[in-house]
Amino acid sequence: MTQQSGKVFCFDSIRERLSKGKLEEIFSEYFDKVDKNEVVEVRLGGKSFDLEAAQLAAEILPTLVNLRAVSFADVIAGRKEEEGHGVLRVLSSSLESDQLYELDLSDNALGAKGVEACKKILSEQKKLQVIRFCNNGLAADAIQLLVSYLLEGGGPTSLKTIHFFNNLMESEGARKVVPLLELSPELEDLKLASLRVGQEGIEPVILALKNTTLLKALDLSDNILGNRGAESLGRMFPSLSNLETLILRDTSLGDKGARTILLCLERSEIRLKVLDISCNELTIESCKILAKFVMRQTSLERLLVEENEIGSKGVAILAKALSSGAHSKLVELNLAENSIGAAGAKALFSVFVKLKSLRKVNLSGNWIKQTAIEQLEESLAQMNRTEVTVSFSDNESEEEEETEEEEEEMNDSLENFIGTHANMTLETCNHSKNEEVDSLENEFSKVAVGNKSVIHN
Amino acid sequence: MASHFQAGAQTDGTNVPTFKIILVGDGGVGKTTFVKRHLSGEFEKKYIATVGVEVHPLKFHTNRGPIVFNVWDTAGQEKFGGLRDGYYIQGQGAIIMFDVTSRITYKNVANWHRDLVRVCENIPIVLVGNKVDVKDRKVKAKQITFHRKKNLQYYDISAKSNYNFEKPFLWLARKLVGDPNLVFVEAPALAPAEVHIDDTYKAQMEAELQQAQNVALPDEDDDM
Repeated sequence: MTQQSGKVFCFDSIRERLSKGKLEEIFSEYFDKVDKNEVVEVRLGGKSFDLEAAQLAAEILPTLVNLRAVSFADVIAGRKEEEGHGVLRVLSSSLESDQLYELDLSDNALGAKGVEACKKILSEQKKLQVIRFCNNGLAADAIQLLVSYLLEGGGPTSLKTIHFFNNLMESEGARKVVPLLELSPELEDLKLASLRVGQEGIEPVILALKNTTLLKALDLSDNILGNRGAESLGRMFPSLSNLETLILRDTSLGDKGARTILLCLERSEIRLKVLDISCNELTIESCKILAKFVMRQTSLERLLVEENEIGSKGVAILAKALSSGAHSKLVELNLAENSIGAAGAKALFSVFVKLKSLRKVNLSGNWIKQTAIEQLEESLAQMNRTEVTVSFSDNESEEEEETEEEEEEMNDSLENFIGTHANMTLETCNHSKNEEVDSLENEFSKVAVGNKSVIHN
Repeated sequence: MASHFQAGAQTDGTNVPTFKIILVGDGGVGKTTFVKRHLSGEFEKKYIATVGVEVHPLKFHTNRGPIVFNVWDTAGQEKFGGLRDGYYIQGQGAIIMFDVTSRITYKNVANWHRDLVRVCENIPIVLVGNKVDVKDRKVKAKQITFHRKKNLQYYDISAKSNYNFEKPFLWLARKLVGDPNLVFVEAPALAPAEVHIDDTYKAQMEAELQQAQNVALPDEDDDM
């Protein structure tokens, strides 16, 4: 990090209107104890500034010569439009050019006029590495203006983190972000989530990632990718080999889109630490491909698949893929709301012995009976894995309980499976890992057939 | 006539019963677009600087006489929590709005609801999902369950097409007046529809909503 260590100024957590008098008091109390040269970050969020208070802050900010990070998030709540813009204009004009590495303007009702009020800070801070615009009511016109300010004087930017979340960007606005992405070759963390962007808007954004080869985290959740978006993203994976976190939660992937993503990931050099494919209407079909993918992705730390329809069989397939002993880094597994019954949960629990780092499992909102939950909880103690927190809230829906036969069947196959593997030591398990992978690969090769046309390099 | 209504309503000086309705929801869900559809309300709106809101007086004609809803629209307060008590205080009814094309706006309904009932404990609240004219929905009928857990009324709406515009107001009027048979006798003047939803699609949405209402919910939980 370029950020040097030092003091951070921020207010208490009470969200309220702030007068100049009150701010004077707060500043004077703070700077009695803290040397101004030590302050590297100022967060003004949570207080609603009037013009006078903003002017006072604008007098103080330039005196903090080592200031590198500023948050003006949530500073104009409840202000009349003109006053709010005045406050933003005063605050954003108070800093020296090229001083900041980080800027957060979230939680202000900016719109295009608000962005205009922040012109100075957006166009003159050429060393910015981190920008956040979350919950700003930004539509396409505002995004266009914002990007034009950030790119004023030409690129490239020094941006490593770009976060846009919960705005009105839509597909039209997404296209306006493209020049910013194309001119940010150092980008490591991109969040474009909950922006109402459809497939036609997400595609140009994805194509713009061809030069962001340093990207480590990508979050496109709560937009619409569908299979078309999934294919575009899949084609980009060869240039995104540094990717560690991929959040595609709620992107209308469906089995088809998930299959595209997982197969393309599997064929890439990407080694993920975090994968979130929750809320995508995935069934057991996706689970088969997910299992194959998971077997090779031994760096996985968090796997989130909640709010899908994978069922007991899906989770059993996934459990099998995790049983090799190679997933010693997996910390979190979220399988909430997936129509999983007791048999599926048992299959999952049986591999906990192999998942040494596992700490958090979410099985809430499934169809696991209370009696089974008690048994499972007991088995944690027997396995000596009480450090694993398993959430079982909201289970046992009356309507679609697994049939007894299904459960029997699952238990049988599970017992066979456990019977073969239970007595292995970790070493022998690692030895036999390749065999395991091979046999499972055969099992899944049927599934993978017919998908070769997915990637067009 | 005012005498046809229960006590509790304010009057606007001309004896028309008047109720304060609070309109909340994430930025961009369409609150302002929705309230501006009603043309007379837009013409007479007032700005209350101290709390940063626009108040739109929306007049409806019922079988018991005219009624006015003073709808308080947040002027772009993008975040919930604190600072809003002046806005909620003495609210008599509320509309919580989300956007069916954005999951996060539905998730945040729980926060808006919590914020609201902290100040207004027992007022009738309608939940509305806007932009149902958009076919790529992120929040589907079966996923809309919050109102059932909290005993709110729910309506699909589309501000741009005027679809179901009057529904939330009719429900609130019946609750506030205490007459389940109250009806609107005259349609309010609305801005012309910018998009059109065909009747087949309307019927399909209504069937899906009906089907979703018939599915049993798990026991009490606050998650969405």
